[in-house]
Amino acid sequence: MGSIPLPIGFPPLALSAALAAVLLVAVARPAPARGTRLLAVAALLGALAWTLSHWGERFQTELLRWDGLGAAWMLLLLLGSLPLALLIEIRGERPLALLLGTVLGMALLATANHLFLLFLGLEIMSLSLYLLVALTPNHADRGAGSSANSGRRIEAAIKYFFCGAFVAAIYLFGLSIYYAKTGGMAMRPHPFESPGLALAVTLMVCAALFKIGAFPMHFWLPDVYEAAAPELSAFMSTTVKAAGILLLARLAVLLPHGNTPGPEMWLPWIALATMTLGNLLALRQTNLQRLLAYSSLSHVGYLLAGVWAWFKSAGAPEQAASIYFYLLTYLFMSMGAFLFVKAAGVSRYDEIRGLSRRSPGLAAFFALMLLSLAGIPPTGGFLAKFFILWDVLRSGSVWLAVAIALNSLIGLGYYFSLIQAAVFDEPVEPGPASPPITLPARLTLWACSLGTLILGLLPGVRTLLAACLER
Amino acid sequence: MLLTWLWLLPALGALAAWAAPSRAARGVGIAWSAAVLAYSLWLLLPFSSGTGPLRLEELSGLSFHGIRYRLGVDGVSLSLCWLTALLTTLSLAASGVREERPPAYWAAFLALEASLMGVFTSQNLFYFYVFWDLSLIPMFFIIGLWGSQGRRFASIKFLLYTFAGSLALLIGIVWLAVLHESATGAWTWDIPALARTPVSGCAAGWIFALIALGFSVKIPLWPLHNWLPDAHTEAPAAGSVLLAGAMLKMGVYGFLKVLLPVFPVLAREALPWMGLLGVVNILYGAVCAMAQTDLKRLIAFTSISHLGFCVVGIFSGRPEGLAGAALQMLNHGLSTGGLFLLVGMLYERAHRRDIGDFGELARTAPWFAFFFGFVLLSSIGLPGLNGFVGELLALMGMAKASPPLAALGAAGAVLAAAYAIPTYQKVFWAPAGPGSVSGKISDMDRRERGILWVLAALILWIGIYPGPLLGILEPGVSALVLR
Amino acid sequence: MAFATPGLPLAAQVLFAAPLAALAIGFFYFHFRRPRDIHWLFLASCLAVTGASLRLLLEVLGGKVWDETIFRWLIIGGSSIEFGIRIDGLNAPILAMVATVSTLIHFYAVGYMRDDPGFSRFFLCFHFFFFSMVGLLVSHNYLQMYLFWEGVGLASFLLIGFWYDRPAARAAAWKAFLVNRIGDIGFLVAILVMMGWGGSVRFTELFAGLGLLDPGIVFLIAALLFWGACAKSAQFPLHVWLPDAMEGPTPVSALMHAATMVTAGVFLMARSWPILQYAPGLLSVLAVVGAFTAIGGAVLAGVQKDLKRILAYSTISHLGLMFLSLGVGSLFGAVFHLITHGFFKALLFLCAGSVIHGLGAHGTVTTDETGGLSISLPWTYAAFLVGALSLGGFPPLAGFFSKDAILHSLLVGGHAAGGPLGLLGSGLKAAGCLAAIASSYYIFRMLFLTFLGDRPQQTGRSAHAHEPGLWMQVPVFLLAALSAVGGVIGSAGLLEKVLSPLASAWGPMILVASSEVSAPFSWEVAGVGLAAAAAGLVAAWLATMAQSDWDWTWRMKHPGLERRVAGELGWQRLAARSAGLVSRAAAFVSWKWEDERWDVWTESLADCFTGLGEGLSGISRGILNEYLWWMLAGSVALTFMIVLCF
Repeated sequence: MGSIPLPIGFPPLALSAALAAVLLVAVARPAPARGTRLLAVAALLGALAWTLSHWGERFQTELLRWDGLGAAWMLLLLLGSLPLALLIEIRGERPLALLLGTVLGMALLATANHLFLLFLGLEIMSLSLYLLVALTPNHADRGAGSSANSGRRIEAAIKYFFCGAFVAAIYLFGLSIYYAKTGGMAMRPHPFESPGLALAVTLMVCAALFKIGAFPMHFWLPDVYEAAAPELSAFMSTTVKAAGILLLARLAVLLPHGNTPGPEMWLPWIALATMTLGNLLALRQTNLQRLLAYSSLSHVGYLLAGVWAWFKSAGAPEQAASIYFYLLTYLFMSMGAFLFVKAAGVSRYDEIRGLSRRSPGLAAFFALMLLSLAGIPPTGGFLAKFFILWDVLRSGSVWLAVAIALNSLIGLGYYFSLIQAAVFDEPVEPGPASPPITLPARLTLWACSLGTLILGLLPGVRTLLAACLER
Repeated sequence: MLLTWLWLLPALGALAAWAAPSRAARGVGIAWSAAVLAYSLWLLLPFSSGTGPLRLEELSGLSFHGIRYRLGVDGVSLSLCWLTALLTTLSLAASGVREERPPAYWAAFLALEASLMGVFTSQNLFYFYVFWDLSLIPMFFIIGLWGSQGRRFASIKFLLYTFAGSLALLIGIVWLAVLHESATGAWTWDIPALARTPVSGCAAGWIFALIALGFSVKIPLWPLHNWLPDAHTEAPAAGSVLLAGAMLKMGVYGFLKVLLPVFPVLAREALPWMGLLGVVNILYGAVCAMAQTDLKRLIAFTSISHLGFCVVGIFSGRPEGLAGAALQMLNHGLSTGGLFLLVGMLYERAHRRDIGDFGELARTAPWFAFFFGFVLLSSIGLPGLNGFVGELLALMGMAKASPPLAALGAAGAVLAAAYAIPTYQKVFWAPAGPGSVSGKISDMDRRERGILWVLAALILWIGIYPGPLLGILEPGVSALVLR
Repeated sequence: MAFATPGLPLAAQVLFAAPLAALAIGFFYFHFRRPRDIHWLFLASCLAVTGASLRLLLEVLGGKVWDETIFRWLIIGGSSIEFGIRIDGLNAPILAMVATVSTLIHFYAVGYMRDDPGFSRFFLCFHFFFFSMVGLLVSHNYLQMYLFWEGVGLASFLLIGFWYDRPAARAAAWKAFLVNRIGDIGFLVAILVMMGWGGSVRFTELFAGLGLLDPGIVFLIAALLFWGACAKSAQFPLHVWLPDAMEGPTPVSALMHAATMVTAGVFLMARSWPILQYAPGLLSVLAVVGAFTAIGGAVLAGVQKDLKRILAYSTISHLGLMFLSLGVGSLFGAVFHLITHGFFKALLFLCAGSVIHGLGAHGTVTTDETGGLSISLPWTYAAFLVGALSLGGFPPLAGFFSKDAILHSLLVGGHAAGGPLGLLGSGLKAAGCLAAIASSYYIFRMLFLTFLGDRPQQTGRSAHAHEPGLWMQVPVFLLAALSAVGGVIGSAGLLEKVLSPLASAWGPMILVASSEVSAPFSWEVAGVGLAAAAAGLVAAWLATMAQSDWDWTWRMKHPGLERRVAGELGWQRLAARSAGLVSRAAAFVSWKWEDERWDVWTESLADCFTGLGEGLSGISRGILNEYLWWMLAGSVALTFMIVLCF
């Protein structure tokens, strides 16, 4: 079929051009920090504009394609990257270049039509992330023991790298089997007659599970989120997770459906393991970022239950919409929670005692985010969990629904003990003076709180999303 | 839009109170709750002109897979709205100026009132559940921020315990909708629609159990009750009034309006068991109350005993029993609300709640003695006051259903006297012990007396002439007669 | 029933309106503004009610009966419960007696409570009792009766515990309320059964439908009503509260625990007379319990030292007599004795009150502190003598006639209780006579010890007792007159005229044709009565006044026995211990089970999750190669699962 020339602003092309520009600026002469940040933000906004303007179009080339799923996820990924671009602390141009690299990788995931290109996107994203984790300074670095802190960050980055490399190897192994079986790497579903193809696709799915942080592949997550800068952890917990789910969605096309044993068999168990492990371990954490990391692990478990329901109903748009809705609300709540940690300059549980005495606004914001994470009605978190529960029950697995309910009850335990510490308790020792909140940070916090509340009030959003994810 | 204002008004009031400066917050809070009370009473006019089971109804056009904003009010729910509005106004009027975080105090109560109004009016299970969960949060903050010493533990225990119940309710509701859809092919969350096409099959049994579990945590039925005493002892006076007066009714209302209409067949099978649990509630609450030394904890156990009569009334399945249950909800709200207000006033004066701390209050504070005695007699069901009418009707219903249970329930009235009279004698008649604070208790001032006179008048009116009130309540429950 | 004349007369409305108005004005105005002269209000209301009740009595004598509904209390599922007034042959005379005695005792109380700080509180409670008693007598259905029944119970609680700073008064008040409440459970369950199976609680409708009900239900209703009546009229098992109720002020003891309240149980049985007819077995139970209580009360009264306790046990004994009379089928004897007993027992209590007031004692007086008071209290002595003669059963006085009526039905009649009962019948006969003898014994023993006795150890003579003021004397004299003349209404057949329409009114529903409504006078029975009274008098003289002084020497020789008998052979202790058992069980359930076990278990449920978290933390210790091993294991397991199950 004739190749349709790609439109000019096509996100991966535009982003790679921007990345090249930033690198050129860095090589040419030491550019002012502000300039490169503006360039990066401009690139992101450009891609966002393009996505919105070409929302309805559908086209496909041998390697790349643009469909409903890709468009929606592209919007989500760009929305997630903007705050990081605004808030990342710059020492030289490297972090921004790496950020653009990550976004480029994600864009490739969204628009790839070829399995190897999918791998390419995955690796560009992962490699940029490994470096980002190592390089971006954490606000705890300024205090005492900053050297120990940066040491911990590098150690976390190395762990992340090794696990990533391991999974990349598994992906390639799967890809090679897939190529041997089907003779091509195009992402077209093939009839399953031999276990080899199933084996290939499952190995590739393991890579997706690693990126999301599902049970057997989740070990890197708490260490990396704890060591990384809070805004980076926010980015990773929301946007990178969405990219992982996208990878899983893309591979789903190839997975066997119907009678052959597909993900319907093992995905619920992985979901159960992830959410239970996340919740139980979060109960005993004292470091805030590590606690939020385990809480994000539990949310991965709920998401996977939604994905399982999506697979069970053979890709029905409603289930896809509820997963997308969950990712959207999770973007706001998790981003809000991590950015609160950065804004309040706290890192341990005891430091937030009596916060409402010191800064009532921040405490109220933190309480709202925790209410949403716990799934209390007025907020978006409840609606997201409600849709997931609905889909899981619709797909007939009652025990998984009960598991989700029990886990959210456990979750309630540590979320509300945080609220108690922040709102009820008297300040124990003179807490760390909270740094002045910059304008972009304030804007992002307001955006998160408004997003959570508005999404909580509109049960109809899912039906709209289902319509647009139809095609 | 009539019914939407019922919960929107207090919600706006909450925002107004939060935004108000600390000094004016109390005024805003009380004025706003009074406005809500006036509005709810005014609703009687359109209500009495309405027809059909739901006399007043509101429906929004949009429906997303059956989730539709739909409010409806019948006799039972409107009377509960009145009770909530009345108790909120009285408890806010009775609570003095708050030092720590005043605006949030008044905002929390108005938010609680908004969510309770939502629960009692919503006819769509989704919104019913949203308001149901919403009511937990203000109460959590009320107990946590303004409670007494053990408030931190009590608030988290209250939240986790009742939230476990509401999660069971959530699963039950969603599973019910899924089952209904698979049976009829249409997505609907409206209670009237679900009632018309009852769900059957073994899954229905599980759903019935889950929803019943969710509601009985809130009532609280016997085994699931031990969050109540802690929550009551630690909550501030106004918080206890609303917790006992209005929030416990959500569980009973749930049984009356959600479970029985949708599962009439299963409800009939569960009659003997739930009736037995109701009687156990009556006896267990009374027995535990006999051994308490903390006044608030004692009143908490009496609430368990009173709501046992509601459960007995509902699961007698007869018209008298159901009307008695609906009436007993109101009676309990008035008498226990009054008792908590009085104990709150005592606590405000002397910061003590133990029976041993008081003595011969009848001499130093005669008004306290009069009102406490009056409301206590109403709560143990002295004929001529409101408690007796509710208990009589509930027992009348159960007498036909299963005479032994009715006799046991009637025996509960003896135990009621057993915990009430000695306590009254120790606090008001017996001479003050060594550690007593009776000296510091000044008698009730005009404002407090006014509040208690309102409650006393209502108690006496329902006791002497319950006709008109039952006239409003009965059509609401007449459809639920199972026997 | 066609017998009721339509429309309520003004007098019937006054019965409710006057006390209610007085209570409302008294509480809201007098109690706060002018507490010292609140009594005028209540005296006026008492007089109004007395006038109204006498007017009604005349109307009823003229053959009128009222059964009118005032308002509909509630409508539930087709059946409706109304409140209303019924005036007929049964409650008109009793209402007249209650009203007159209450008015007199109200006057007496003004003098007695003159210098008590709680003067207005006393009168409020006192009049509330009066209102409840009137309401109880005239209500036309069981539910309304139950309403006033508990109102009377509440009033007795408030009045027994009037001097609440005294622990004995508090304990007595709580005991009275609890025992009454236990009895009320029987009454409440009876009402539930009536509503469930009988269809209605209104007398006319219920009695009309009695024939259709199966006997088991009717017996159940009758038994439950009897249980309620036992508690209120202090019959054997549930009589424990009455002796302690003497802790209250004397006017309270006189009005409530002698004349009116305790007779409510007898009135309930009399009112449910048709139901009893359908449950003949219960009548014999009534008779046995009545007889046993009569003898027990009389024996214990003969042993007590405290003046008011003697009269309390005497009341228990006479109530037992009334139940015995009902048991053997004599409605007339019971009602007649109820009325005359109201007069002379109130008189005796008031005289005891005057003695206590005269001696300046606070609360009660024992026979050790009295003795030889006839000199310093001549008028009280005279009145007490009239009361004693009437109670003992000496001819010209009221007591003789009413006791004669009971003895007649006992000795001559005795067919209502299922014909010649053989052993049971003779047992009842013996019990009746024994009670008659014992009653005159203990009353004259009290008379001798209080007024005539001059034993060295009695301190009464030295005390300078003074006659009470006019407020207290006038009522005493009027009561003495009534006790004397009361017998006329029985002998002149006035009561028969009134009661007969009542019996015939329920006539068609009564299976046993001849219920004793009239009492033909027979000399043998009168002779037996007089002999019993004389025997009692002589025995009392021997026990106290004669030099053998048997009463005192017996008491000194066996102090242990005397204490045990005074304590009702351990029955009071048994009742107290069982109450203690219940509260210990409550403590066990509440502390052991609720606080230490169930609460702890549910709270520890949360800790097991944190424990699980601790356990799981072992697998994520931050060591890289552990991670990699886990990831390898995971992916291998996944692939095996896919390939094997393919």
